[in-house]
Amino acid sequence: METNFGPKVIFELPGGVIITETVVNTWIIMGVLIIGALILVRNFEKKPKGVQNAVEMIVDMIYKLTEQGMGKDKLGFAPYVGTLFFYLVFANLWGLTGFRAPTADTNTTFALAIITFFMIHFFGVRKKGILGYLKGFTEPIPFMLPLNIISELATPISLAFRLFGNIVGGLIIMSLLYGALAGLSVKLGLPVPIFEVAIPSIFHMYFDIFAGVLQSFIFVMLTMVFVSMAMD
Amino acid sequence: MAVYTGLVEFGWTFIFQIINTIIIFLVLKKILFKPVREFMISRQKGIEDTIDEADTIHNDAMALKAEYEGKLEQIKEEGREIIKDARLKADEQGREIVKEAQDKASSMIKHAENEIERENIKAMNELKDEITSLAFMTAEKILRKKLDEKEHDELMRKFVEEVGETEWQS
Repeated sequence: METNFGPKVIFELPGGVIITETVVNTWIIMGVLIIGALILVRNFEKKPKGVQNAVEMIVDMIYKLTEQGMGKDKLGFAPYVGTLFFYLVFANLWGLTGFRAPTADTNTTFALAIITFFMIHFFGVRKKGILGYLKGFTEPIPFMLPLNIISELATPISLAFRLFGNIVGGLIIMSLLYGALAGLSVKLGLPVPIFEVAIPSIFHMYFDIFAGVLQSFIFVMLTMVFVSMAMD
Repeated sequence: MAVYTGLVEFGWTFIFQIINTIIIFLVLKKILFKPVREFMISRQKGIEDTIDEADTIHNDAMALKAEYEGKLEQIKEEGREIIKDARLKADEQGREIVKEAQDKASSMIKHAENEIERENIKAMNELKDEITSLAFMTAEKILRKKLDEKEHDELMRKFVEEVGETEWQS
């Protein structure tokens, strides 16, 4: 049974730059997404048919989601929202392949949360001007200033740990479950570890598929809401 | 033996993941979201344009139809008007022709009457002359003597006129 739940180091570049399985898995996911997009968008025709309908529906869904979550004037965020959503869904479901999900790593979740954090403040300043933006911290009363600052700083931390906790929690539970089922097979002296066949799939459904898709959606929705709130 | 990093440990992975996220965002934006979105918008615009165009053409056609129907009606009206005018004109012309003919006929009749009158008078005068000379000759024969022509001519004319007035007037 695995005792270390941290990501594995795959190789080390000169200068002590460690490449973990998180980064490698992310590269694989990026490759899948990019190649998939290239193949799907390659043969677009004026009269849609087959898979083109599905691609158009998904892209349209992303734009509609952005419009609902952020407003019509912020449709420019849709490509980032869509990218984030696709990347998170793939990353969260990556655990099903037997590899480690990239989101089961605080480095990944914090990277995404920091990008959201910078988006909140960059677009807030750009929309309201630096003074209007700073004034927002003293509302509704100046006394709230420290609380507002803490609240702003807490946003990326809560975003990152919510996602990380859900995914890594599932990972640990699944790992413990596999260990327990394997142990049970050994204890009963079965030649084939029969318990590991069907039972984990139910837990995979919950921890990987349900929690994974849900957390992807939550992360995307919160990013949209925070950025659009900073701008309005 | 595999080397593991800590479960919550920040390292180079953090930098890599930020860069990875930005790269995947830029690439997907370029190859997926932008082209698909533009494709869909252009198609939607194309459909809207086609519908608008069809509407415009339909409206134009309807306007043309109404115009031509109006024109046709106008032409029919004009045709009726022309026929009516022609009929009126023909009637008038006919009447004029008849009137002219009548006038001409009446004037010819008058002319003929006048001519007859003149011929009558002429004939009567000739007859009078004839009778005068006849009477003169008769008288000459009866008297068998030469008369002063001038005197007797006057006498005879008076006689004949008296005779003519009584005889021809009745």
